[in-house]
Amino acid sequence: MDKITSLRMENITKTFPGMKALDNVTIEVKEGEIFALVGENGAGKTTLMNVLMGLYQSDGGCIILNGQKVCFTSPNDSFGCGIGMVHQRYMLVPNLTVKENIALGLKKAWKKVKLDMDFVVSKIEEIGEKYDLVVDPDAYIWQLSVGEQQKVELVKTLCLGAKFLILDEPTSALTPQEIDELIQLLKTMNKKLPMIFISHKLKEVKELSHKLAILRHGKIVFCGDTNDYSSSDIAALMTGREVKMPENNEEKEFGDYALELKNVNVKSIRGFLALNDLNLKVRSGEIMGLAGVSGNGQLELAQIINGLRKIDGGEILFLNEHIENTSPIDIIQKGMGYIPEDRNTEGIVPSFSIKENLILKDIENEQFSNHTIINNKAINDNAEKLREQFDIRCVNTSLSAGALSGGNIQKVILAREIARKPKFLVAVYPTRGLDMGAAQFIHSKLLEMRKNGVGILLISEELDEIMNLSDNIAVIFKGHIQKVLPAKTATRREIGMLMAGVNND
Amino acid sequence: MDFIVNILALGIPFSVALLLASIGEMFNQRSGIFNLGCEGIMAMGAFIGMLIPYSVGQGGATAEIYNFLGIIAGALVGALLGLVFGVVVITFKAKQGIAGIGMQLFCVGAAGTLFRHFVGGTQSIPGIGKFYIPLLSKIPILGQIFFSHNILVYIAFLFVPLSVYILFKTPWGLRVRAVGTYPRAADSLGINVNRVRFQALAVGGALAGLAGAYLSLCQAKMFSDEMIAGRGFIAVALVYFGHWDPIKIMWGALLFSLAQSFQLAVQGQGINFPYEFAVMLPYVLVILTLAFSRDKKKQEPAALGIAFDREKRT
Repeated sequence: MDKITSLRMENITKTFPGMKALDNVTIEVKEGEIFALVGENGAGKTTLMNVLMGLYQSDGGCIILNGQKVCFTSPNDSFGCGIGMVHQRYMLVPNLTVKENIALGLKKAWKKVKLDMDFVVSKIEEIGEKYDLVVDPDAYIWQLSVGEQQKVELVKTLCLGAKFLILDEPTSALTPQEIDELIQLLKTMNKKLPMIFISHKLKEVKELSHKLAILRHGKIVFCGDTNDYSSSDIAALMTGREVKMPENNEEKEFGDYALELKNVNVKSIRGFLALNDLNLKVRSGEIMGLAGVSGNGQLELAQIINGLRKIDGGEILFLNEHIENTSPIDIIQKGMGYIPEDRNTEGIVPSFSIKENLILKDIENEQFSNHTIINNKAINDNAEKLREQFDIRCVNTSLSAGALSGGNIQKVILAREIARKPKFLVAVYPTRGLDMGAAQFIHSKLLEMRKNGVGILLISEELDEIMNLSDNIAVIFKGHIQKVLPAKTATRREIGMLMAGVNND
Repeated sequence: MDFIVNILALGIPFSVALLLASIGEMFNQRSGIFNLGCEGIMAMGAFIGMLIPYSVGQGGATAEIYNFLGIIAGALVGALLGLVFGVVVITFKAKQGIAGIGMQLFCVGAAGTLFRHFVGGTQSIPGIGKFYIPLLSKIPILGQIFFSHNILVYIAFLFVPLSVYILFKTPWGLRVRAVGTYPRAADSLGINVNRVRFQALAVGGALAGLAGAYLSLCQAKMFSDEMIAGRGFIAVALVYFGHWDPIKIMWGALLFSLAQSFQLAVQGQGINFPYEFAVMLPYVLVILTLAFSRDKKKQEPAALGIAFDREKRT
């Protein structure tokens, strides 16, 4: 097969024990098209693509390729027909070189006692020329930036014979500039091969796709030309109701400086400075958004504020008291709240029940224990109250917290932190991987805290989130605050340049 | 001068068991599995290796053939035990650390029990003698240090470049490196992760068995329960020491065994030096180098010790 001119998935149905993941789904992609598949988490996007990739067998329906019915029972079948997938998490082995990663899937290069690397390199060059995708075959993956790794992933998929691409949230780890570049690249590549683009970022869907299908609870609720609908129409169709993401547009007076970092230096394990002469001040009642490409010191910053890491130089003041190099418990008791990056391992103890997780930081508090015996009634009452207040969806609060969905785990963490009435909050990627409904709820809670005079340091990789919520935006690059901009007047372009390390001042 | 030549000439054959076992363990670890049972597999290899020439071929012109068969049997039993370990940690996904300790205890115990049942008490065997390489062994000093050993010594050192080639130039080596670092990526390319791991375990086990057979047939020319004496564990440590690189592992094995032959020589010469310290020396050296070395090329197999489960989300 030289080209894929049409791909149709007809009446696909897939049932998992207890739920219908896909219900009579039909989509069709034609030559020269970019087809966007949008929907909230759990809507069935991944299941549908797994059926197309041969990882799952559908209970009903069929796949029609170039007018002929095909049957995929394993990933090798769909590879064989030229369907290639670029996963959200790149499938590249970090301690192998680019060409070795490609050789791993290129069975033609597997000579009996030797790998034919010349063949691999010539294949890489051939693809590079055809699609204008240049990569260095001898570089190790760990040496490459996320954007470069994505290119390698594309080259790999094409080298292995893909004539049809499935892109699973390809922009989730890129800078705004890299996203623009990728979109341009995909547009040119699209002239030679059709694609399915999975995303929940509606801006990109609008920019890139010709047609789109919206999945909700395993059903297609809408299918049509992208240009006919606005982003807010699509968002409403996706969630089944009007979604208006809350915005910070209320003028208010800020209080005194709640958190001040002065000339902070932190050495990373590998010896370079993870935080380099970092200065940042946040006032009470202010939301300071911290924008930056992940890996530029955001996590180290959150850790030192919460006493989880020592600093090698500088000062940290919290409500005019020094907190650098003290212990986490001191800082918690001074009124610091923390929503950590990894909700499953740092935010909760997954094997503990929901109600226990809700009082993790307060078990020494007299309300919940007399230092010897815990007061189960108080813990139950507290859990019931918070469950209602924060709309934590669970059968009961004695279940282990690890069994909850991501959005509900985040609500448990938020409930715990807010119920402690903190004076400051560090929120790291608070809505990562959550659907719009849950994100909306968390955003409104953060704004409510702001209203009550709590200072917030909001660390996020979603520019929209930062721009919607922040009063001021600090941009971090290589552990140094490049600049602090007022959110009202900041532009995406300006922030993007700063994130990439370009500072014109 | 003789003193130094002796240390070197003794150190090189000392290093062989370590070298073979640690290259085997390197293949295990490169594929993502660390096998603490190495020590036990060596014990079984040593026992089976000596059992065959002992029970069938005492003396005579055919002795060499039975010695050779002993070596092969040691390696085969090692490969088999490697696969058994694979069933435990790959198929049943047992924790590798604890399964390895179990493997070690089981094999050492089994080797000792079988030894008492089939052989009885300590018996020495003729074993495999030295093979003087023609001409080269006649070179003064160098001949004695490098070219006057039994045949397995030369073979063991040939395994070093051979394993570099296998690891970095063949498709199988590439697959091994991939499944040890990011099995999910290998799986997404249609590579059967668990099959590659089983293969690596068989290779690793065979080399450990071979190392054991070397000890009983070439070095000690007998078998006893304690003859492995921690070499299997040192071999595991040497893999970390050498950052999963066969050449660095070879240097590690040589460093350790030269230190050991140095301490023997010191004791033999009657030099006034507390022998406890001399015995400690090789171990201290390994610990120190481990503590101060860095994995600059990032060769560590990141998925080391983790069973692969396609359905599990990360």
